[in-house]
Amino acid sequence: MADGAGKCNAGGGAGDGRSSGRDAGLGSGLGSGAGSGAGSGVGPELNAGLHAGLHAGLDSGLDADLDADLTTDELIVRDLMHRVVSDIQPAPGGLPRIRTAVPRRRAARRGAWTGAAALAVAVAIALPTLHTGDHLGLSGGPGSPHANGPAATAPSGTTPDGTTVPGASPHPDPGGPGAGQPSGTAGASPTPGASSVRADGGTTAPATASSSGDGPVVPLCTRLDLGQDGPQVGSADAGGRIYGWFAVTNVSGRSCRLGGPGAVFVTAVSGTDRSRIRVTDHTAGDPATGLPLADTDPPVLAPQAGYRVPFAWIPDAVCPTAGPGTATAAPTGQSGANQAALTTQAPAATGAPGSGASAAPTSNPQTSASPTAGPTSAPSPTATPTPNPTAPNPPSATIAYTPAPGSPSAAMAVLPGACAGTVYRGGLQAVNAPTQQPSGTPSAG
Amino acid sequence: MTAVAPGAADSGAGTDAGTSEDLLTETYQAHYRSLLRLAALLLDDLSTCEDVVQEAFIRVHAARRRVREPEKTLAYLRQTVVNLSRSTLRRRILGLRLLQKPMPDMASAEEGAYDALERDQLKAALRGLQRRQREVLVLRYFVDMTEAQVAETLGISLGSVKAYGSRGLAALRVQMEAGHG
Repeated sequence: MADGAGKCNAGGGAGDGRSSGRDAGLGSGLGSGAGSGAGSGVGPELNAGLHAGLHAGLDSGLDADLDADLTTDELIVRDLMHRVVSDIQPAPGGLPRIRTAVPRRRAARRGAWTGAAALAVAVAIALPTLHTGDHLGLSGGPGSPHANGPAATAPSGTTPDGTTVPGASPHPDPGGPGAGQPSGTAGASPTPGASSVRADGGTTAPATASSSGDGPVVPLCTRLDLGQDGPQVGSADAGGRIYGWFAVTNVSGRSCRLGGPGAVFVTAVSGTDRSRIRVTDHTAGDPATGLPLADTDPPVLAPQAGYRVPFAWIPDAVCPTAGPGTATAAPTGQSGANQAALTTQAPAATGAPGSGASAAPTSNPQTSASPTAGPTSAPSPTATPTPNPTAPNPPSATIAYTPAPGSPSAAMAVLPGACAGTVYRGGLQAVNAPTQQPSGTPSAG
Repeated sequence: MTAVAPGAADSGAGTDAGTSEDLLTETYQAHYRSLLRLAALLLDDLSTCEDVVQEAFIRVHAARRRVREPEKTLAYLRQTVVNLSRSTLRRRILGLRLLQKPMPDMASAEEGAYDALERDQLKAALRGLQRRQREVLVLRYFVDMTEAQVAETLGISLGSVKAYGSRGLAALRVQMEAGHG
């Protein structure tokens, strides 16, 4: 065995100190032999010698010192490990391979993070929209199947007519992103019914009328074409009804056609349950008598022209959170004052919202239902100036409107005092120019 | 040929800070070989050594945060090699390969050395150890880590390192004697 170890040392050229230590099988020469220099040229012979030497060292070490003289073993193991792998050399091409792979990996990491962020944004946008069941105006509202019928079917139903038009288009819009879509929807504009219905719905822009008469190809409004103006929320009348509108303007330099009426939906509620706030289209015979009917065609918007989406908030007769006793206890003056204080437009306690209201303004238990919902509601910072000390902070709901292309992102309108009720969406109203916007409540029925 | 151990044992923090490109080259030249040998001791299948070490380089250098700490680069590399070797072992149990692409140029040039290693008895003995025991022994004696460093690299306690080390040495002794006799 000592011969074997000697051969190993000769072949490997290891230090003297270590060889003596191994031969003796004791820790005498360990201090000097602790260096990790390994031998070169490990071959079969050397391996055999190493094994013999290790065996000898282990045996003798175990024999001589059974307790814990592991240092010898450790040194031998270390030496063996280094010798065993000493012939392993890197394969050529490793560094270039790593060098090309590192930027790719970095890009992949970035891509993973970007993808995750994009997915989160998409989910955040899509969830509340899908929640209302009326996303992007592609389907009719839940409560009125016929109201959206013409608007929804007009673009797709007249495709054969539209396909013949694009060749003769008098003024094609350069570079419109929606250039592929208008061919299918162009057929909707020349139909005589469209213009007449629009005339019923309200004012019609001159540009709209001319374009529908000519039958040109007007591209659909893209999300870059439209800009939202601030929504208008009128004050509540004595019945708690609130009228208002969302306004959208064509901010691009070209005419475009709306692909649909867009969507009105509830985005947030405060102090009430979200399920108590319903959104539906206005139809003839429902309580929102001040709204235009919702069956008008989406208009063609000339540059700087716009449209409004009127809406009405009709509260339920009884707020579920308020007991009947509190409803009767609330005088009508309190309700009027309370609501007026919450709206930003009308400082007067009464009289402001009267234009569209048809209900009896006083002594109706229905009227006090909405404001008296307050005792169970969360506090609202806008409720401070209420004159009645017993009138607490009422609930509110926030609704938003998204045009048909899905953008600009929804403008928010807060409905103060909304506890339970229905938001009715009226028909679109074209607005010619931004300077001609009338003030006050959107429509008088 | 004789520069076996110094890269692994001595120059733990020997790289200078610089651009990541230079750092990559420096790190490669200083540590690639020792890391390759570390992987060879940890792995059963020698054909995956280069894959494992290259993957470790790619991972460590793709994380800019780690590259910004050049003094820790070697520690990260070693830890990654250990972890990748471990997962490679696990995947082999499942019949999978860590990287599908084989190394084309390794087979011919280095076959002799790897063959010799394959035949080596210590290698066979290491193969018979538990995974943790083998990792502790290799890090402790091939990399010349202290027990505390081994504990940190493997993420286990100091007591566990001592226990794995002593049991591993005993098992190694038994294996070597059995293999020899």
